[in-house]
Amino acid sequence: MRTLTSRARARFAPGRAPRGVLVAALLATAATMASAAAAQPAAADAPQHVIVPPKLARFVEAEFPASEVKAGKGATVTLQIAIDAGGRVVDVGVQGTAGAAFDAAAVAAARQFVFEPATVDGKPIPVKITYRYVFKIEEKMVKRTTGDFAGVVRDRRTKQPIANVRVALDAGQQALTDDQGKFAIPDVLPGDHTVTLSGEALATVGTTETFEVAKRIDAVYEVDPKRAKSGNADEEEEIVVTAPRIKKQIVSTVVQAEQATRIPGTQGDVLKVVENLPGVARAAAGSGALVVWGSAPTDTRVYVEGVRVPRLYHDGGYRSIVSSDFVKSVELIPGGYGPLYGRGLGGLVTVGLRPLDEPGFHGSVAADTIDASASVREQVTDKLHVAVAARKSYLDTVLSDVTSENVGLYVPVPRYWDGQARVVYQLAAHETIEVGVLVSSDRTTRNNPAADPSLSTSSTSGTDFNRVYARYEKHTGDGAVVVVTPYAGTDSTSLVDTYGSTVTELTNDSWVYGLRAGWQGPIEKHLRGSVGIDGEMQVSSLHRAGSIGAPPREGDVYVFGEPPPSQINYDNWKTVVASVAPYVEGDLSLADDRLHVVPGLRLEPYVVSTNKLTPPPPGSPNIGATQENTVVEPRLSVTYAFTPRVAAKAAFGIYHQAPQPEDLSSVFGNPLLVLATARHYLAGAVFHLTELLTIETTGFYANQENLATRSESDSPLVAQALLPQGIGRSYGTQFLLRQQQIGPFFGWISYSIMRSERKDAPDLGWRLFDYDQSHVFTAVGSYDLGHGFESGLRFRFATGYPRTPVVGAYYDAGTATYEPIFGAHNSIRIPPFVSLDARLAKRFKLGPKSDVEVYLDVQNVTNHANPEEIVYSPTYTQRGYITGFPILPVVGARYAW
Amino acid sequence: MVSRDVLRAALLASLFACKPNLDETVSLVAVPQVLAVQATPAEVAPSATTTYTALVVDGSGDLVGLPIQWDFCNARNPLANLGPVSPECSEPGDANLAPIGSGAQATGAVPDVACRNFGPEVPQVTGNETPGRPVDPDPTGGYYQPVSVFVPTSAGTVTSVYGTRITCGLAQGTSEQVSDFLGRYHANVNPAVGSLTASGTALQPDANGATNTLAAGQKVTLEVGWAACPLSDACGDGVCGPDESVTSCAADCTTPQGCSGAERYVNFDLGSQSLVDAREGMHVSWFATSGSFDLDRTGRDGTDTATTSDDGWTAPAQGTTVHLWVVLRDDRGGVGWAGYVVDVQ
Repeated sequence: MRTLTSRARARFAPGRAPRGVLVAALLATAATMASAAAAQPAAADAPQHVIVPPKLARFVEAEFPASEVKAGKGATVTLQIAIDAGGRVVDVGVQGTAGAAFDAAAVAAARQFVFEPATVDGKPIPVKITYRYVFKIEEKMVKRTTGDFAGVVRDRRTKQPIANVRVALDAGQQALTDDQGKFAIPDVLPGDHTVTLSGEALATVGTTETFEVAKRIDAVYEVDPKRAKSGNADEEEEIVVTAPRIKKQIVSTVVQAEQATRIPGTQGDVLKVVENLPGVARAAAGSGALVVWGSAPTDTRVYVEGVRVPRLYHDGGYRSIVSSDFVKSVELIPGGYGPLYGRGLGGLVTVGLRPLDEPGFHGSVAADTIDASASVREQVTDKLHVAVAARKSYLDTVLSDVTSENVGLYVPVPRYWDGQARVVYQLAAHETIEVGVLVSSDRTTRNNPAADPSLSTSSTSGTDFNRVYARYEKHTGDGAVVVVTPYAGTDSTSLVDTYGSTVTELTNDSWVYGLRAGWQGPIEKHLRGSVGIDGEMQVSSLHRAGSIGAPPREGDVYVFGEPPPSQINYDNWKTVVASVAPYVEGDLSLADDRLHVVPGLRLEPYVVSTNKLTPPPPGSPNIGATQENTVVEPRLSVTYAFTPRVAAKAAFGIYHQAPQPEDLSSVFGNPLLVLATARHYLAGAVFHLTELLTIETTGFYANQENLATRSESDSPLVAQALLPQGIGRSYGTQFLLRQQQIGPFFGWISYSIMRSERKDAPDLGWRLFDYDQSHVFTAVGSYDLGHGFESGLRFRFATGYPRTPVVGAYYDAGTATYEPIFGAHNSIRIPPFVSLDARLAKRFKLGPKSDVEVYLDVQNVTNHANPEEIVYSPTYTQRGYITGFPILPVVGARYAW
Repeated sequence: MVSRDVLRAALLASLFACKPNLDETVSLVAVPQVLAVQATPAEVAPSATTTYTALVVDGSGDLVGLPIQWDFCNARNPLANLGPVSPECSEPGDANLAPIGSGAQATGAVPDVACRNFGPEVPQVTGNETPGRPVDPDPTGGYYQPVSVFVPTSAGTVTSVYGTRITCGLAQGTSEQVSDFLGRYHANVNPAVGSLTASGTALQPDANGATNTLAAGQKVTLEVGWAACPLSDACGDGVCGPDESVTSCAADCTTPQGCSGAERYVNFDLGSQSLVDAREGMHVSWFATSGSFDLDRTGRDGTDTATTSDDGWTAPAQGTTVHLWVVLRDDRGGVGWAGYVVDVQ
């Protein structure tokens, strides 16, 4: 590293160097000495005078002239400094020049020197000294502990640079943009920093950047500057970050909250954007199921800031379970993820919460046809922030107000609410602790009474969860980060279905405990590492009554609406599923940072325990069973950047998943189910067509084994209604063409072609997975029309789910119903889904920090009749389709301050 | 702002478009079909003999004298099959079918392994196989031996399956509960149609050779009635109730007397693991060769003590002879029916 220094050098009578300056030089000129002596008697026997030269008491380092930096050479300026009897510098002259710039810098510095005055026999006297000021360029190696930050700020629409924008970091460093909109802030401590942009040309906006030691972030910030208002002060200020981001996963899609809220069909719900990402199958209308890369919905795990939650969406899929005001971003990783996560055979969804560091009091209130929500956040002290959010649905009330029909006959109308609370305390500059609460509740009721009580049906379901968590996060000076997240909570589900006198009940009340603790940081120049522990325990009490065939499982052959088998049973049981997984991961940077090899390992001992190995005879005690199994899960990902615009990637990983507590019943399942296993293989490439336009393609293959499937035997053994004998495979390719914000537009096109199959028993053939969708195409675009208007379009096409055809029927004379005779398993499909959705929003600026947004979100603009399920006439001689929503307008408004 | 009417229209449109439009009325008889199968007695123990009768009809009325093929289906139903019986029971000639007989009626002895194949007893095994899982009971505590019914008609073979309720005792519960159950449980008796009225006017059954008359296009309320079974035990009422036995009431229980209406019976409640008193629900299926019913099926659940069930029926607009059937079923698999001829003028 090159540093610029200026040094003073002595020529005469060096004294003690002031303030560590190498040498202070003093040369009392002959004239000075003569004048001093003249004042004294001139006698040969005159007493010897004691002369003490002046001492430099305060040294001021001269600034190395910027104009001379490029030359890369030093210089020496010889100065004559006049010092009065008080030690003050009264005059500085140049005796030996080194050029105007060096001369001026040396003179300016010398004028600020302060001396202890020269003395003659202890009496202060004025003197003149000669002083050599040396400017030197020194080369020395310095181990850096910081990173650098540079970039440009420009107008989002015109792409023109904006000058005089103050770019400030939360650590206090700041810089002003120059005429080219450029700024530079050196020596930034590693870790996450809030970046704030402010200035006369725009309102204050902020974002977060992650800095690493010895690395430089080159950011491009596109903002909407304030424009001349014409009585319609509705312009918004927004920041769009296009800085290169660190790719954490081989295949993942991250969407920032600011964009996600503008996607048609989401009604402003950030997390609903996940449905539009590549690799995600379209969920059936009203289901909200998350099917990723052909895996079952229960195989994809959802984390909110490291806290596992059982679902991403409320019943019906109308809303997510976290307030959008709290969400910073959402990331979908369909497979091949690293060892920091496990316990799931499918994908991973991680929700990042927005940092709480804003000064003042802020919040929002929103309402639409479906629900209403509110959130507030407050800076209590400099170090303490709190935030609270809540939401409640009223769709059931709206429907009952506008129609006297029993809507529950046709569609489930969910009733839900959720809430979140956060308290964040800043322990130090880069150290925070957060305590939070997440709660969610869903209820759904359907009733379909009939004149014949044997045909009456009803369904009541409930799903609740809550979490209390703490999160400690510290960014150390060496670029490392430590995060510890303990959490606890409950999960409760209940289902009561009746079909005539056949009642199906299934309840699960669980306590969930989790701990995630990890360190991530640099190990040496080319190696970063992650090490930590991921533990989770679920203690469940379950109850089930009714038919073993209800509710249906994936792979069951049945038709929608078919009555459940009338044979019933009953069981109460308890389970404990626990595992603690230490993990380690390294990121080895090779080939001048073009090649990244990221090996990882996760070692996970599982304990699966049930209190009933078999149904006990009446009066006999329960005999339980405990299984222990330790699995080793290697993970590996490799990326190679052929050029700055073209990179290839590949990954492999082994994943395990414990059996569901619901499947461990000795009556309805199998207490000895084993861990299911999946292997993910994927490879792909990324092409940066422009700075903001990227195309990404990923091919994948995943196989699964030890899946729990129904026993095919006509005489299954006791406690073996389910067997771990299913295997599965999914393979395909996904494409993503994504245009980041450019001018008023952003959007993406995603397309997945895939096939997912299951084999339920060794002697059975492969069949299509119930959730298989061969083609899923989504195109999303949002356009800022100006003056606060914004529009968006979304087009979706998805192959219909497979179903098993009915090829005949026989009459059940005992119940007076026809029973279907089925053809080949999952050999037909529901017709494809096609929908065009649109969104139009208008934002009214009410003040510097408050606005109202009114939006119209119209789903299925073309009113296309989309089949969602196959239904049959009572004798199975006619086939029809339940269709999804026709044109469905949702009007909403949101006030934020 | 969107008006309330627009909102209402949008919501209603979005909801009602979900309904499939499948126009099929099972109460209208046009082609050969089996409407009901009856076993007499309605509930028997393994090895006991019972007689099967089918109500087979088409658009012209009852089809009599058909060479119906009757088989016991001995294929156990795999747990992976969510239908009521094994798919093999609907396949003529399957190896798991054991012939009972052929003709309008058939009489046969229920297989002696019925309670092992279809009941609470441990299934049969061969060699050193581990015994499998018994069959679960239905909500009334019942188990059923499948009977396959293949009816050759002009439109091809019509396939039906019927479950004969078999007396297998109680699989769960303590020995005291099992003993108590065996003493208190009485086999089911088929229900019987007691009466049928059309807007208050009694209709005469076809079995009596009678013809009833209604006006073309006339809308009437058909009300079927059945026997009022006692709601509590009373010795001498002709019905052997759950708490009556030969010892306590020889008059009613020496030869167990049932009731052709909604009977009371004892059941084992899986949740409370105790014996509970229960009462049958009654279910009515309405059929006619012409005209239209308001509902294909009506009924009463076990808590409803009414002994009638009604349905609206609109006579055809043109004068014709209409065959009308009422099939009565109880919760325990019992079946009864009656046919009527209506001269629509």
